[in-house]
Amino acid sequence: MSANKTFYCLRCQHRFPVAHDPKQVAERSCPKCGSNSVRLETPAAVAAKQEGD
Amino acid sequence: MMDAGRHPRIELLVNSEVDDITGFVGNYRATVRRRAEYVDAGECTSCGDCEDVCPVVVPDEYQQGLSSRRAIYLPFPQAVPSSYYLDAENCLGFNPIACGKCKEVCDKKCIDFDVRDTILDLEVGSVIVATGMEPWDPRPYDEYGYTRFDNVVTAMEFERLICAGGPSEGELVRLSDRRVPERVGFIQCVGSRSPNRGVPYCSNICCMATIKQTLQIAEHYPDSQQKVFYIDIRSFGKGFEDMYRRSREEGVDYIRGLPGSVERDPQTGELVVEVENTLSGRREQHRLDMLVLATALVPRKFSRNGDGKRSIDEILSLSHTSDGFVMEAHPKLKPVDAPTRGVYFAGCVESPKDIKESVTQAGAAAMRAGNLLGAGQVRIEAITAELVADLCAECKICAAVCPFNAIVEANKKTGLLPDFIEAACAGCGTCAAECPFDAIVMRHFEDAQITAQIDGILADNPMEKIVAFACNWCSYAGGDNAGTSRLQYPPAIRLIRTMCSGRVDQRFIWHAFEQGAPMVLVSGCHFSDCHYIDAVTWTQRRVEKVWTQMEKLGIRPERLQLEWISAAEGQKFARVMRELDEMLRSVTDEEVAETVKILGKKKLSEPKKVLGPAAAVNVASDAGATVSPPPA
Amino acid sequence: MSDETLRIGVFVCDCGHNIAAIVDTEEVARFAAELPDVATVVRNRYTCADPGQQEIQKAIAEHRLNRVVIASCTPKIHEPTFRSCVAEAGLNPYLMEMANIREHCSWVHMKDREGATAKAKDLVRAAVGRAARLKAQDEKTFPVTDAALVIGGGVAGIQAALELADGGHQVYLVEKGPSIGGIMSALDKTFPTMDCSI
Repeated sequence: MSANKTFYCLRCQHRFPVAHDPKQVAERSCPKCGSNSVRLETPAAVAAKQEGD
Repeated sequence: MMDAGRHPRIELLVNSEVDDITGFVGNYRATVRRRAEYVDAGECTSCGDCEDVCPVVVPDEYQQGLSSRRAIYLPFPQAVPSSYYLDAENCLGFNPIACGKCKEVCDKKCIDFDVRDTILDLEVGSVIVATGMEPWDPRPYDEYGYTRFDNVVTAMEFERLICAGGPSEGELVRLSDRRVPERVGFIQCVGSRSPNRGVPYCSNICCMATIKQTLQIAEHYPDSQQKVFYIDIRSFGKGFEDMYRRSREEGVDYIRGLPGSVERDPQTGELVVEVENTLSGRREQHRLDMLVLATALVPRKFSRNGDGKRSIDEILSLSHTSDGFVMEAHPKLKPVDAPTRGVYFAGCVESPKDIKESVTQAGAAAMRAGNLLGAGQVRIEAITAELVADLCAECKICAAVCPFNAIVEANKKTGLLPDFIEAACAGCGTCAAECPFDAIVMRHFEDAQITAQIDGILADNPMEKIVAFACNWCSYAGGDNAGTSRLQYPPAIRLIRTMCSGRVDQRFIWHAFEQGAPMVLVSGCHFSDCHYIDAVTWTQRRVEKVWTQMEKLGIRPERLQLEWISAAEGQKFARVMRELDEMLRSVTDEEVAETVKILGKKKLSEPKKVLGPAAAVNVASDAGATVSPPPA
Repeated sequence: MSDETLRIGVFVCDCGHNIAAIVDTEEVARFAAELPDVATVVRNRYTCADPGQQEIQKAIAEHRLNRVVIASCTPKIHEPTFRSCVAEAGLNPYLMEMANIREHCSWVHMKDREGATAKAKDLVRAAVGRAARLKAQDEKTFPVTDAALVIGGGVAGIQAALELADGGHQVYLVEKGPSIGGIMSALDKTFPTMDCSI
């Protein structure tokens, strides 16, 4: 099942939605900077970032 | 063509497509699907009685749609095999009530509607890819009027019109009124050398094809007027310049400049071409009866009607250069070799080329393949996986992740350990990376060898360095490509080569951070280029797991970067290196010291210990935390 | 082999000006000489050329080297060259390691001599560390099926199939359409001699 999930880029920090199916491993890239270091945004990631601010 | 059809050692498989190719150099196994042939080619005498009674009329592809054919037809007069062909998509005969006329009329009784596709399993030592190219669709260039005016045709359509076997029997007629045009224009570079709307490269053959066509017109219709609109005339081959000179001597007017617009004069029906002549600097208007577009040649798009079939490029994991054509193992020294051993290229699949060049390259490819086949045996690099039985906990993860099914699962009932089939192992190392117990040794890419490289890099001034893992086929070669192209980037990066990014064990990443690496990069092939089927997907899963763990430990996940770089992407390689160098500056000494401290306690860079056979069960259930679960 | 003392030979290649104009190869060679288990270091103008290869073979014999590290170009070009070179001198080819100080170093850091030299040293140190842990390997040979699959029945595919078949090999020529001939068969005359395409 694919659902829209928020991903974020570990290079430029851009956040973007992706139709994500956890069973399928797909090649992903950041729509802004093209980096492949993109990651599903987890609650922990959000919390960590807020802490950092 | 006929020679190929009757050669005793060539088995001609028309109406056939390759569904799959597995194996390795010298030992490939191809699955070929031969579509049902409803006319028995061995029996058909090409009498044509069937065609006469066929009620279906469809455009004839061979004649570029300029004339029609029936649903049962001879593809073209000299076709090999020389047999009628029943086009199942358009034929009505599959419903016996609707039709069946051809079957009734066939004297030799060689039409049968009940045959089915056949699947052939072929064992071959070598594969030659000669899948060609296709002409570019000129419709985006509507200012040239291809979609608006009948008398604007493509170069391929022109070929059929001027050919004695063509729809007009060799009479060059314009399509609006079937009269022979007195004034013919040619527009060059339609789609070529146009990065924005077409393709950026020069299509190589169109200048000479146009020159040839002007000479054909001059020969057939000596009184005609001809004009060629061009950017540059590239007549570089043997005999080419001579031909260009002859065309000019015949009075063909070469006008430097591509038209801005083509319109039709409603009164006279003439085509009105507006062009800036870049030699005189003047705006000119030319009135013509017919216009031929020299369209670009582009890589074949293997659109398979969405039936989920893979293209040859996908089946063989062929990479592509930025122009979309397949990439050679080396642009100068191995121009007909694919990076995969035993696979060679011939013809336009590699780049647009003329017949002479295609024939030359085909000869080279045949020689390369022949050398391999003639040798009788092939040596395989000693880089395969080996099991260390004492350390194995029989968790089965290795068998689940192997892209080549080279590992047969352990069987607890019989007490059998996983079995490693060496001939099937391609050496990606995914099993070794996923094994939590360090029970798999990748020959020549052992853990100790790779960690020694990490240590060698980080032995002094680690803060200035980025430890990078690059796969042999794509990312490492992409780095080579950047070098060959002299693309400059800052020197922080230190590459460690593995055969596949799937080999990059998370313990290597932890080890690098433990030794004070400020940043680590894992890079591999794009998913579609992966030389080990889907090993690269395990790389991504693994990196994602490490990111999560880094986050839990309070280490910024940004310090581990992931990138897919193909062998052709030297520019991307250099750009990524510049970006990582920027990021490196944001990593502080304190941050790294803190990481070293955290990881020093965690011992993440060490393998799990086997506690005895009973531990296997626990490990399997615990596996999710540290290693990727097998795919569902 | 495991009980044997490590004796690593390091060969630093100038590659004419390709490496030496940017990387201080002299400095890299000095650095390599100080690394653990390194028995000898040789600088070459062109390691891949015959004199360079002879130098390697001579050093293997003279210094009884059991590991060889070659700091030159990408292994994608010369790994087979140097593997056969050391094998001729009696060393298992898997005991040879390369450090890519050209494509990944001198050619991409042309304006940073210091940075490129530091990087080259690291690459050599990593290669020496790896070489120390390399093991001799035996390559397996597999039989070859004497047949070729040619995919595509255009002019290139036809020509390749004919050449191979004439050479005595079995060929399967696969074509998607109902006839071979490809795009060529739809052309009227062909340049530069204006002869018929079929």
